[in-house]
Amino acid sequence: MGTEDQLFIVMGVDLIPFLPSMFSILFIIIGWGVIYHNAKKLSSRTEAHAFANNIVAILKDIEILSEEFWFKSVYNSSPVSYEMLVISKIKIIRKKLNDFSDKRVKINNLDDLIFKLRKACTSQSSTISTLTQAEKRSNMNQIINSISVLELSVSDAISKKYPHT
Amino acid sequence: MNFNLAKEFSENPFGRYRSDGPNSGEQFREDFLKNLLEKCKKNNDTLHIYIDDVPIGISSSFLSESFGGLVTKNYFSADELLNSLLTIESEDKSYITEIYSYIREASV
Repeated sequence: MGTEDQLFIVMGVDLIPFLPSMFSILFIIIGWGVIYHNAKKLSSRTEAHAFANNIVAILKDIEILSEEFWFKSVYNSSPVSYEMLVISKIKIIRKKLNDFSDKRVKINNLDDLIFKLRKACTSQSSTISTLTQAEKRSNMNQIINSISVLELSVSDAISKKYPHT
Repeated sequence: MNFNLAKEFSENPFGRYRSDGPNSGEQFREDFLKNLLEKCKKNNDTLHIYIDDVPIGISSSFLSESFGGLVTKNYFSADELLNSLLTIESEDKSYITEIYSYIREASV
């Protein structure tokens, strides 16, 4: 028996007949590992995108509330009501994004993005009765812009962390 | 000196001017903030304002009028407020960024 053949003899047992089975088991383990890794990645990505959709839905609520307030004069007799509704939604977004940013996907300049959205929505709201149509349009433009920037920041952060392969 | 906005002023601080309703930024600045800061300045102290107990959140009109107004009304300079006289305590850093930005903007 040659030296190479002796390599496959362990404690007097010839392993050569078992080699195909051993390789099969090894391939199954590797395959399972790859599938598990991909499934976990896919699940995290799906969860992240579901989270982003949830944030987009709340931002859409803010946009609708703002359109009604700035263009359709809803709540104009009580700007404080608009402020409370918008501020409570912004607070929910900040809380969700903060947790998400801490645990899953880091969103850059989050404090700045939230502050700019809150400012666009509520810094001039209490004086709406004194504003011209052009000033109201300008304000709504800032709100839409702040919403878009926030939405894009969340979407970019998720795409970077979980790129489509 | 410590001051809890929700407990010592209102749980619903909203609006810019007194005409906007109760608990406005103007009311907070004129009836509370100015006097507290004057006391702190006299005693070489710092006013720490804790804002997290406000349940819903605080509107920018309130923040801008109360804090930025301290500078536009020439009660205090932005430098003395930002350097030693006033600190804002909050887990939500966006409020701290916002309040300090109104103080800075008001000095320009």
